[in-house]
Amino acid sequence: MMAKKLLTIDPEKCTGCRNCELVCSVRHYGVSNPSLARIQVVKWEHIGVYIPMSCQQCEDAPCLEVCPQDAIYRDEVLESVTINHDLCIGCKMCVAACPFGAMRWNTGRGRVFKCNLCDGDPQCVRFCYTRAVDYQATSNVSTGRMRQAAKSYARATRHHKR
Amino acid sequence: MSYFRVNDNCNGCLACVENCPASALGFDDQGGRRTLKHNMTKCARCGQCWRVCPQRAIEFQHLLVGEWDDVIALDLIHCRLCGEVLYSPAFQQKMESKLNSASETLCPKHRQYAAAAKMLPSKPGEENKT
Repeated sequence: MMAKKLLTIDPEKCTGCRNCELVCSVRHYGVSNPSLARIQVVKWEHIGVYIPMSCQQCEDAPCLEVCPQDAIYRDEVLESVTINHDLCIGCKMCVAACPFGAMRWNTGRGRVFKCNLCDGDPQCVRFCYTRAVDYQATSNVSTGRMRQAAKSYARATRHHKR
Repeated sequence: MSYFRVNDNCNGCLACVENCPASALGFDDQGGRRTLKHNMTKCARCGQCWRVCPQRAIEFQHLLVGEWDDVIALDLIHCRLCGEVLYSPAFQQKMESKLNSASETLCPKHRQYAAAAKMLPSKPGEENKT
């Protein structure tokens, strides 16, 4: 098995050009439509900070946990969290559960969608000229901040338990 | 409430029952009373009962108009930032029991913002604003 690779982001390199959104929607839907993109740039214009957000392929994936049909599984090759659309019934519990807003609902087609790492060749990475989005092994240091953030976010939401 | 309705002109002759090709009409004579019965799952809405009824007692029109019945009404939980409809309390309960933790009542977009805000190099004042 190959080493697990993840989509990693470096907010300091992102210029907020949203090229990743465009190529993502073109790759998967054949249209240039950011609302169908599986990666989306979150912007804080007043401080000039841009952060591309996409599926984290969580190890303890909430979407996978909550699916009542077991329609979400981990791809054996890429280790990506993957939807089996033949089993999906469209209840959208995964959409509600994802802490990153990375599982989304395609109103037009009536189905959920998320990053599938373009079967190992992420187009957002290919077209990100500043390398703010990259596809690399998990051991790489630059994933540290992202994973830390993900963990602290998960912790924070757990504190809200009523 | 029955979909098949007759008005006060009905005299219980049962011509409709005899002539229904789908056997969707029946009757019950009990306790000195005759009850006309209709089964919507068998009814083909062909209108034969309406055609044969000598009393013009059968109200058929509403069977053809088609109305929406309220089946169930549930409370809704909204995104606490933008008010987008998220889910019902029962849906949330089911999800949280599967996750074994509480979830923030945020829409996907504001979850994305909240998660991204954790990655900010330094904390800005309005981290969850869009």
